[in-house]
This record gives sequence, structure tokens and C-alpha cells, in this order.
Amino acid sequence: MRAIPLVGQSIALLLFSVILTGCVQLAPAYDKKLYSDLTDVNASLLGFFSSVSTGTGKQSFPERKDTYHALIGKIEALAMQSGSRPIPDRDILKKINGYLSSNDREILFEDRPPSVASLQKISETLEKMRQTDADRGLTPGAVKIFKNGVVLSMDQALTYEAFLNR
Amino acid sequence: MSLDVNQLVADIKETASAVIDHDIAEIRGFSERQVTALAKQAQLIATAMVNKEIEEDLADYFLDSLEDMALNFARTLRGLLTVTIEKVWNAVVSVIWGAIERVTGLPLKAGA
Repeated sequence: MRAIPLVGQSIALLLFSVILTGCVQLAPAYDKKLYSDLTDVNASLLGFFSSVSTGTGKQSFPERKDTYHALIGKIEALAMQSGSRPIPDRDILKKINGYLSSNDREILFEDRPPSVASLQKISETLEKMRQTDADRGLTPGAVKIFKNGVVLSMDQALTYEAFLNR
Repeated sequence: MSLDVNQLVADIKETASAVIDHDIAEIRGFSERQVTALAKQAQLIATAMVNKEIEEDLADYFLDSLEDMALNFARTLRGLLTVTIEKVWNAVVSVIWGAIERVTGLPLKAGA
């Protein structure tokens, strides 16, 4: 696994700075409320997918319209909340990126939580599902694909946010 | 009293390894779930296309989305590694500063 040498090299570089710098915070603080809200909205999403698992007709779309808007609104609010947390030692991340770049490493560390992109992807997926539902209805196959995509992205967001609880 | 460099190196290695071993196990579990879900997504798209359950424009959207999801998987891995690096860094700082404190008898601000 290439991740282990990457961690090792980054740590080796950082050790030189350890004595001078002391403890650092390279990622946002764990947000218990955000994590709890994510698990709640995840349950709502799965409940909604269950209700449309056999497919939908566009004539019944008005019955679902409000649910789509509520879910999309919640996800976008959580993405905003996730991205608004400060990273105290942002400058050290820049130093690590400088080292990785100088060694032709293609992976650089971002100063934005990855859960933001995952949540934005969920929001975009739900918007596409809403449009499709309104225009032509959803086949059971399409619902399965939308659902698996949302579950996959939510796993990314939940795993990262839980990992921040260090 | 002098600082035992060999002991300090052993302590640093042990501390760093404990953090890395724990986190890599979690990251490996996440990776396996993601790879399985990405493969399942590809299978669902292919099946729906063959069965004509989705029209061409929707199939294109799903295929583009699959790329985005794979990219976000990589981004999440990188985010998890950042947290691991932070944890190792802070654990090593505590070991080094603790060793210096024991030798000098001077309290250092290890949590700073």
C-alpha cells in the first residue's frame, strides 16, 4: 500500500520540526453535532430511497417534491458547516505540500475537509434524481444507482468526520 | 543524568507504530468498502444500460459521477492520512519532550 511510505516520509520530514513546533492540528476539530446530524440525515435518505425502491411515475412527483428539497437543503447546510471549520496549522500543511512537490509526489494535502466534496456530491446526485423524477419518473434500476452513489459518498463523509474524533 | 538516545529512538518507533498500525487498519476497512461500492456502482450502471432501464443521457451522467466518486474516495484517503500524520506527530512530540523533561527536570510545554 503506497499510503504507508507516504505517511513515513511525511513524518520523517516533520520530525525535524518537532522540537521547534510542538503539538499541531492539521485537520479540523471533531464536531459531534455535525456527525450526529450526518447520521440523522443518512437515516432520512435511506428511508426515502426505501420509499421509492420500486420506481416512480412523474405524475406522483408532487408528492415527493418537498422531501427532495428538504433533503438537499439539509445536505448543503452540512457541507457548508463542515467547510467552515478552521485548521489551526494550515501553514504546516503547506510545508508538507512543498516537500511532496519537490519530490515529484502527485498527492498533495488539501486544507479543506474532504467531507465537503462528498456532501456536495450527494446534493448534486439528489438534484439530478429530483429532475429525472419530475421529467420522466424513476425506474427501479435508476433508483438503485442513485442510492448506491449516495451511500458511497455518505460513507466517505461519515468515515472522515468520525476519524476526526482523535 | 544523560538522555539515552537508543531508548528514545525505541520509544519514538513504538509510539509511531502504535498510531500507524491502528489507523491503517481503519483506513484499510474504509478502502475495502469504497472499492466494493465503486465496483457495485459500475455493475448497476452496466445492468441498467443492458436492460434499457436508463436512457443515454442518464447513463452518461452516472458514468461521469462514478469518476467524481472515485476522486472523492482518493480525497478522503488523503484527509484520513493527514489526521494520522497529525496524531503521529503529536505522539512523537510527547515522547521527545517527556525524555527531555526527565533529563533536565525542567517542565516543557508539551501540549502547546
